[in-house]
Amino acid sequence: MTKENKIYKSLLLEVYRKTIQALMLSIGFGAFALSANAEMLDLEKDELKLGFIKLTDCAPLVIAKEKGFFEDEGLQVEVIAQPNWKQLLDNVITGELDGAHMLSGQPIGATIGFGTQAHIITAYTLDLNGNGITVSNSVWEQMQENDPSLMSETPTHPITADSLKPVVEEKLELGEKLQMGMVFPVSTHNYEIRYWLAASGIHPGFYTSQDKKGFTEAQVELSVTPPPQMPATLEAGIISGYCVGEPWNQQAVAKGIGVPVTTNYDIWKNNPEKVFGVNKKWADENPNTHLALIKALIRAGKWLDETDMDGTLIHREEACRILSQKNYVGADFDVIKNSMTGFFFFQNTDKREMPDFNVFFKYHCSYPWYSDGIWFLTQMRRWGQITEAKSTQWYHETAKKIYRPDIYLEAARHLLEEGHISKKDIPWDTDGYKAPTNEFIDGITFDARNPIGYLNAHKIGNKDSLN
Amino acid sequence: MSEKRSDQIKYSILKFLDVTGFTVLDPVIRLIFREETDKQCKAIGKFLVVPILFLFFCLTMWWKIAPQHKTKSGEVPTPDKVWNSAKINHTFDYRETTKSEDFIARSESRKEILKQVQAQIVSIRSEAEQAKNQVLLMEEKFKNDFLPSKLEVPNTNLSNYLTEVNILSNRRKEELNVLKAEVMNGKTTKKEFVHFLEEQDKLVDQEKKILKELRSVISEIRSQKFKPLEKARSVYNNLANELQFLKKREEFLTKSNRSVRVQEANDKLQLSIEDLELATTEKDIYLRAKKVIRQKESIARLEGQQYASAVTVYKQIKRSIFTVLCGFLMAAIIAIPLGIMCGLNKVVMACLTPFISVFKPVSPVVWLLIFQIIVGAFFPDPETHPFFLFFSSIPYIGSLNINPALVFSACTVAICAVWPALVNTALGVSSIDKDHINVARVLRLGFKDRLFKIIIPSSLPYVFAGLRISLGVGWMVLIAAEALSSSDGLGKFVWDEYQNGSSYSFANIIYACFVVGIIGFCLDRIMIVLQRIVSFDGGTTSV
Amino acid sequence: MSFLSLENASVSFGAGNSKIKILSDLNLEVKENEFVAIIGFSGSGKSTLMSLLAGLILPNSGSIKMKGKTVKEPGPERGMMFQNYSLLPWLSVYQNIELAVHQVFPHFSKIEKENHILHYLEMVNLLPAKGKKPHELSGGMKQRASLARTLAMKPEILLLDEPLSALDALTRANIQDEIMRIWQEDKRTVVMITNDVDEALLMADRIIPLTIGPEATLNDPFIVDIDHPRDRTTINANRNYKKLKVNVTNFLINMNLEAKKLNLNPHIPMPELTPDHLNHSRSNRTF
Repeated sequence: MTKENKIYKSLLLEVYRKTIQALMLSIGFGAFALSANAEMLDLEKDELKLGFIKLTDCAPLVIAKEKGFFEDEGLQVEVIAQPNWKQLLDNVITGELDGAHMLSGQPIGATIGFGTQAHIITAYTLDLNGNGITVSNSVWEQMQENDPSLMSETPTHPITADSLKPVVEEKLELGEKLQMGMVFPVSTHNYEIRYWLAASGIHPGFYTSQDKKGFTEAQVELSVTPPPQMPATLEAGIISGYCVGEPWNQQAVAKGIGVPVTTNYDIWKNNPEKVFGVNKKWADENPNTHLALIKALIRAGKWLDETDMDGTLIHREEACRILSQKNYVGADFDVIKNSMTGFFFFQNTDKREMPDFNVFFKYHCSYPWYSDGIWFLTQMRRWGQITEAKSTQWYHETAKKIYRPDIYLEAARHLLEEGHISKKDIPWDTDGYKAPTNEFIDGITFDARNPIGYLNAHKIGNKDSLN
Repeated sequence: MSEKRSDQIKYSILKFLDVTGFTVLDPVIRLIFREETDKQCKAIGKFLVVPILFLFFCLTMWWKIAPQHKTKSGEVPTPDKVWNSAKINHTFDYRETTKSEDFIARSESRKEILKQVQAQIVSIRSEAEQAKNQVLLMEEKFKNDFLPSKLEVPNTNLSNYLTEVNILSNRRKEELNVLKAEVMNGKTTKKEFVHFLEEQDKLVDQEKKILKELRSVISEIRSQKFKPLEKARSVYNNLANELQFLKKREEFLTKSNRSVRVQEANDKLQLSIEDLELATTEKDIYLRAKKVIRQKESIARLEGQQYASAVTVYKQIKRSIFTVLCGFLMAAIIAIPLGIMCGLNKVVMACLTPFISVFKPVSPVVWLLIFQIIVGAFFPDPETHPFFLFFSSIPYIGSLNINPALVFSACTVAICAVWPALVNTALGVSSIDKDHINVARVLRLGFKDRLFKIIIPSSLPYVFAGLRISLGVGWMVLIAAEALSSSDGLGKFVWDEYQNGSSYSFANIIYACFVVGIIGFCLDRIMIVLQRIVSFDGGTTSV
Repeated sequence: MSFLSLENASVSFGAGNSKIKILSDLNLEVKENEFVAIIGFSGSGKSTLMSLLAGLILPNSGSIKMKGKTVKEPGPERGMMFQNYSLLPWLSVYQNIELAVHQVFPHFSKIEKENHILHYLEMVNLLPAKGKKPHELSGGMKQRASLARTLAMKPEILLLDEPLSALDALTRANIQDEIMRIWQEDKRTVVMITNDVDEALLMADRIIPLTIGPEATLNDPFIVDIDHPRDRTTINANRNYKKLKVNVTNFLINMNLEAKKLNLNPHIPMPELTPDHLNHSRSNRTF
């Protein structure tokens, strides 16, 4: 197929997509169920390479491959481990990878030009929650001293950073700053650990146009460490704590080198974590392939969250078995199993049930919500990654440039026709904004329609007066 | 006559050993041909048996020492664990290959295999059930027998001490209250009161320390491994993995099988063609004809599909060797002409010396990063560029798929491997025997003849000695480059294992260490043989 | 007109103060088809003289002429046989000769070339060893191979630089005979350098002594008027031979004695230096 042809096609598809959206919004969904589309999609490309980082939340990609969902769409997909988030993003930009498991902040950061500049879009959210903040044993002991209620083998959650504050201040008096690790400047982990610290009045530092490390005014310095190195770096004493995804918190417990104090479930209940990102250019050239990918991912997500009558997750053990293969996450089955089957060890003696620690499909979570994008944008502005004040309008427009529910809904519609999902699985007529919520560790209400107001509600962080 | 024959065979074997550098086996061959048996036996004892015994000694030491050395990042694996990880890697490769084969299996053979697989699934499923029960049983045992029995003493110690501490601290509180009163009414001086407080703090610290120790004893026990449980788990895990694999095979032999899918698509196509026949309106004919074309295209695509299998260690090895050879070739192509020019012409030498001296010591990591940026900028689209289309049509190596990662790894290898070859070539050319030059002068050889008939042959031993060092350097650099850039190859294998952080990671890394070593050794041997072949003086090359 | 001539040729190495004159004021005339032996002690500059004749080095002053033309570079018409064989070690005996033949007779066809090479190999009795590499050959065989290569170029003049010095007596005699036989069969001009009086007397028409260096020069020649072919077994009885041998030997011994006398009063220029610790006054320092 020639290039002109492709462009022409993608243009047509754009028009087509817009029409569908408009029609769906106006006349509701049902009437538009086309029978002509029950056929297999007319793929532009059928051998794909997808990148992932060795974390359990890459599960939908791996499952879609291993359970044959990609093959059902006529795709042969290679799922390739990447060394770090930067390389992964670079590979997506250069076209070495067709798409990848990305941090929620990555498509946003890339699109607005923080770090590498490229227009990345996402039409699928891979999961909710799944991160934890772990501190070293000695910091944990000091926290216990500051707050004797933590002395118990099963302390009450959520644990805030209040008891950490004296530790930080003590260090500051000695002229030192507490060092902590996170995985990437635009990672959810960075925003979560900042949120957690700031909620207790500890300043995690600003990014400025000169300071790309985010150390300005910092009381705690956060530096980038690749997830697999976190436990080793913690043990070596280079950092005193970190925020990372699984299985690296459970590893710390298993090896006895640190104590997870909180999970991001407590920091923001059911927060979006990873997304499936592709290059905008790629998506425009391969619209049907993209659609087929999203279809397979939706099925994988649904498969992962399938429960029996009692609400037990029935496929998780098999998923762990697959993820523990050395070409995927590769950690021991028993370690992966802990968090994936709804348990979390806070200490050796403190095993808690956390049924929602890894959510892949429930709560309509795989839908690419605009409001999720806006939350990340507010955090980027709050910590100075976005260096100047932006208008409310800008927040909405940017989120809409990156989050693409139109593609998601079209994929879902195909699946509905084919009978793979039921109607209640998908939020068909949402406008892309979740209802305002105050389920944060500091109880501040987040309303995506009012990003500036949310920004100004925080004590620590940039505040804007624009509208 | 027969005597002479056997002698001939013997000498040709000995010559082969000499050329390949395995002179250690020399006495063995001579012994087989019954030449001075006593002397040979002694030589074998000294140079073969003793080293082998030493090897065994090292292995036993490893076996003994490794389990005693525990780090928090995992146990040091014993040789059997490393061997086991080699087997696991092999199994993994076997599974991936089998899956690929199953995916493309056709009609009769497919059904045949399917039967076998299904039978296997049935038998393994029941075994796995049993193993799972065993795990549950052991978990119970661990929780109810093993832990309590071990924890009983430390727990009572802890609780006893806690009550003791409680009593003591209560007593101290009382004393404190008494003393406070005494200070108030002047019975005790304030200085004494400070002293008392200090003493108390010391006591509290001491208590804390003891408590911490007691607690750490408990956590130590908790993190201890219960051998039977570990064993049951590993048995179960193995079976479960096998089961998983068989199920995937079953899927690949039925619904996901290529021929099955092609068949299905063909059936659909048939329907569409019938539909087309029935169409009457112009629009219908057009649409249905279009559909038929689309279906035909998708069938064609399906027929060419291969299973996208995971990259196993053998593939990584193949890839690494390919990359190192590419880099090495690049290095040779650059180094030999430049080296010759340097050797021939002092001006060229003077021009290049600063570059050689500055760039030679630069770390491969720096080069890697530089090439990563450069290659990224210039790399053409592999799907349309004629070179890549040509390359992918070459058998055996076509499947290796050239990508930027391969190119910049190869470039890194090349730039690090170029120096020894360059310097040695220059040395070889400049140290050419003056008599040979005189011969050339008397014969009035032209520049070309002089170069190809005198200079190059005469410097070849040096050139090959340099190339041998280059290949060694290149191999070392490559593994590091691959690990850093995660470009496919053994380096990535090592890095991935490190990132996996599973209980077998450490063993896998040591396994990779042996693989890398052995391949490096083989490459070096090949170079030695080449060097021997071009060296005209019949002299020995250092091994 | 002489075939090859040296006119007041001098050769020196180095520059400035450390310039050493090796050969000075050499005058030599070699006639066509003449066999000239140059005899001298080792270290007197014999090899330098040979290189000069071959054109490998050029004289600092004076000139060297062949058939009236000044020699400016080496060439195959002056076939040089080097002291240490100079066979190319990566080529077999056959290939070594082939390289020369190919270069000198580019118009030869394949068969002509092969025949030519085999002819010379046969001449030096090396046919059985034609496929061997130099390092597989004995010293005598190497020397013969080198000879074959030189002859195969069909040079107009043959320059032999102590060709037999590295050989044992038996091999030496053998090759002497061969050189003589070849010279008889295939008349050429030959200049041979040697340190062996017997050898010179046996082979040469003229013997020219080279004085002891530095600044070595050629002395008056001894004419060897013994008819060719000469037989080593009977020549000892020849009166002329005996007389010449005594003359040449005496001359050489005298030359050696004179040189030693000279060495008793050596005049070696020394820099005007005095060790520091002996001379405290700074002003006297030379540097």
